[in-house]
Amino acid sequence: MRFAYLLLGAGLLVAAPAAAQVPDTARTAPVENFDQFGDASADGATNYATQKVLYLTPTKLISLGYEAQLPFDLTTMGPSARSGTAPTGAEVSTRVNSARGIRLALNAPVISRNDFIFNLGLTYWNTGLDLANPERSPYFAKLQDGLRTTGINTTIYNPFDNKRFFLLLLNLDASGNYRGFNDLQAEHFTFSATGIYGWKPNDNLQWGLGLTRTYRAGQLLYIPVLLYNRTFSPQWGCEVVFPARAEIRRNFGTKALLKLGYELEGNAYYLGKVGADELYLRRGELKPRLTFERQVSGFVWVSAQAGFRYNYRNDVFRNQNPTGEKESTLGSEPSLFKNTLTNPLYFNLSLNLVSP
Amino acid sequence: MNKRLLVFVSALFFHLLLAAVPARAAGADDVVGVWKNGEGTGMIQIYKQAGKYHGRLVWLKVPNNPDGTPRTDVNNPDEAKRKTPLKGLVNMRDFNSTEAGKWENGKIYDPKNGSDYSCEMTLKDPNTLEVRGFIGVSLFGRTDVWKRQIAKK
Repeated sequence: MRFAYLLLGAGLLVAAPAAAQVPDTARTAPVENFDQFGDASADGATNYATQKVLYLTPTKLISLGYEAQLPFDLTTMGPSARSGTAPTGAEVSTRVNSARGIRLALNAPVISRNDFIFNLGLTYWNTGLDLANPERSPYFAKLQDGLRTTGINTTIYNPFDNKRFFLLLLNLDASGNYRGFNDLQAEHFTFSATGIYGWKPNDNLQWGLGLTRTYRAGQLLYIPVLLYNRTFSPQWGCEVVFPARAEIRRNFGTKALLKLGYELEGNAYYLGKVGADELYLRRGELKPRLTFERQVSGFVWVSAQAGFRYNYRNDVFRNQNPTGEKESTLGSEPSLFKNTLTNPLYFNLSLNLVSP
Repeated sequence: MNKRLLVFVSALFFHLLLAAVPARAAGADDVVGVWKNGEGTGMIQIYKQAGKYHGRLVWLKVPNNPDGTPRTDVNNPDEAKRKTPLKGLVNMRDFNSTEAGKWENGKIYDPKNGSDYSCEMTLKDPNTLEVRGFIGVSLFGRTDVWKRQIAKK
């Protein structure tokens, strides 16, 4: 009997330390020198640079916006006589009473790990155009249908270690005056890509060099690109992907910021046919602008933007991409409609779900 | 003799019962320890308090400001908390052990931008922890892979 009680006592004693594992481990941590800590696993670990720079403009996961330009004048000349398409080469003008529409964007992180990020994005930009005299040119008549771009894009961020990374951006856009997705044809599609090899020496600087295939200037270009995101202080920084955009940033804490800079925006739009000619509008705009963004609640931010829409290129050609054909030895590619636009103010307001 | 046998069997059963309960709890506690984030800029000590799991920053790769003073939580939306030292800051809160190797329903605070995210943790192996911070739904999130740290000297 006595043996049995001893056994029971021994059992309880053995069980006691195990039961002691349950209580809190929240005791004040003993003063430990964590500098002397290292990886528990024998293979060690690679640290990876994140995509973020301190105080950078938050990434927009969902964006619902509206953009409007003030009225402007549009003058077009042409087509050339050899096309045989009416009217003649005389200049005709119209007032564009409004150029405005919604801007939608979705950016979902499909794979988001510290050693690899794959984001998938969708965009839809609609610009409704109201021309005072669309009857004056077949080109104006085409514009009456509005311009829109529907796109799918991916962002791949691949850090090699805690300093070096590779960034790849791919865009497939359908741009034109189509009214519905049933109208989409192969002629509407453009493909853009940017590859950047970069360095992130610390949390305040990320820079890189690369190449881009872009339609931002209105027609296809292969050019070098510079990435330079830098935070000089908790108040000041800059965000540059040159030549696409460059901005100086003023932060007000982490929940509001003001930016001054520009963005080059554009694409090649398929407008259908006039007579026997296919019409491709090669449109590139420089937008010097002021942007204010601030938190509304939680991860919902509002963005308000105002600036000039400065016309860089807005001509209509028979082909989507440059053909190499020249008007003269030193001249440019002959256009079907050569356009001149006055440069109005524009405004953009959007509500965004962000990832700070 | 029968009484001795009964006491013996009872003792054995009681022992096994007590041993079994902490064995399950030990699995839930596997997340407890010191972890380094994927960027290598900080170590977080995860501990258990009142049945939930929390974490605090115990090591920073860059512990001081350029002027030599210890870094504080300067981006906290609550102005009163901006002088709280980052070292020792509780930045993970209220995780529940929901299934073997998984801790959910917690919050993680990022001192880099002063934001709180929903968070869940998954133990991939004894020394590798996947920490996913997200906004609303898990789709809008990012997974960081943390490595367990132990004293080397």
